[in-house]
Amino acid sequence: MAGLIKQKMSAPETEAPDENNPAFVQALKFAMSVLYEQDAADDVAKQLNSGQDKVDALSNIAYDLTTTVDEKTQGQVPRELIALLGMAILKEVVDIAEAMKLGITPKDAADAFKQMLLRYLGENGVDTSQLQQSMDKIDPKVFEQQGV
Amino acid sequence: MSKAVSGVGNAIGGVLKGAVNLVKDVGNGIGRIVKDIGSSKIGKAVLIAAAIYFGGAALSGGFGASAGGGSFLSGMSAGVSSAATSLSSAWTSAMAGEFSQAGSTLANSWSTASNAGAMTSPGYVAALSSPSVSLTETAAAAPEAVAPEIATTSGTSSANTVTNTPLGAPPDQVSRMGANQVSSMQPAGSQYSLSGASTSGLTAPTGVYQGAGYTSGTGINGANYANSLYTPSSPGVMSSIWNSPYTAPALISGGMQVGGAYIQGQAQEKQLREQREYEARMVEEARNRYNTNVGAELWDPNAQAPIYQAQGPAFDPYAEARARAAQVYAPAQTGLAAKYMNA
Repeated sequence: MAGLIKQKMSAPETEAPDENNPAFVQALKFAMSVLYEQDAADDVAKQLNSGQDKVDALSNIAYDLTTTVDEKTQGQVPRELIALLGMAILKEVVDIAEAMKLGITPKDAADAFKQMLLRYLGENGVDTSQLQQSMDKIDPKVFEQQGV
Repeated sequence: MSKAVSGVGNAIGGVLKGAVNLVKDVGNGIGRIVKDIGSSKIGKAVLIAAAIYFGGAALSGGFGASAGGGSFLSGMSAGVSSAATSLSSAWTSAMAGEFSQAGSTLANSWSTASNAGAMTSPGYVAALSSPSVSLTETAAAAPEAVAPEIATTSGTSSANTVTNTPLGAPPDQVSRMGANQVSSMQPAGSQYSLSGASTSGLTAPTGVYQGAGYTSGTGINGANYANSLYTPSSPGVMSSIWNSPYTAPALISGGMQVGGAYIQGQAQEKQLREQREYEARMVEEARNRYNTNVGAELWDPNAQAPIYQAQGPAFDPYAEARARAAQVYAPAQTGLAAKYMNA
């Protein structure tokens, strides 16, 4: 996420994130293109299949993909949409894992996203020990909620 | 490029075909990413995780709705919507390195989402649709009717009044204290009261220990009497020092020094004793080595000194050798000539 760091600091925005932001749309298109048109999904599948820890594999692959997409789009994705981009990419990685019959559970996906957040904060010099303890207190059952 | 993107395999395994079929039409519906993510069970889990771990909004909204009698997830949905702004702001702050600001914003998002979730609950909706209530119809009763009630109950309430029931017969152990003491432990009626009106003027019972600080006539419940029982009039020096917040540390420190000096002295004495024993042992060993290596008894135990320093005749190996050689090589002359020569 080097591109993000280069962006100028601005006051916290007060508006809801715009999913139609051109840079965000471009980054998402690029991610989908890499995954499926350039067959990166095959490599993702192999990594998922060889990984011992499903959560780690999901988290690392999605995080690396998000980082790469952000770099390739010169960090033009608005900061408030990076989280959404990471979630979308993680969702795609989870879809691939499900196609591989790896038995991904909602809790696995939630834990993967948690690790993405912790990794990002850790790489930016934040002591994530207390944060991780707080996160671990969340009842896993809340991730098993069905549709509205 | 990341490891995941690099080294794309050429062949697509059959098991992956399902995944390939999931290729999204990124040109359509890009504005509904959140809805797309939440369309599946796992995607919804990711949304919930995002809301909890970073926004903290959706769950709080769900809780609010549940508390109001509504659906958890309906409230969660409202919470997500209402907290989207907070979530965005928090993420922006975190991205900018303002993690403390992000944390503060996240905390606010929890509160905001909780309120939003509660507002979707049926109970809240019913409350909004209920008819208004006239203030005049629900006005409280006149206050003057309450005041006499308080005055009446305050004198008879068992929680606030100590009854004057005399003590029963004392047990055997108490009887051994003496008649005066036992009688003093059975106060007459109305001696004890929370009001304290009848406690003045009582004297301490006969036979009960009265400390030095007791002043006669202040009453059995008086402070002087109580203090006299539990406070010694003239505590010892050590007690005074020990109870003083100023001198107690010094006492502790001094005690530590005394104890330390004692321990140190014991250690020195032991060390000296061991040193003496060691030296004595070394002398004995040196003496033994000396005697053993020489091969002869050179030590005179009577004189406590080597033989060559002793007063007695010393052993002369040369003289001994000459004597033996004379016996061997110079035997007594027994021939005719020798007989005559010795004459």
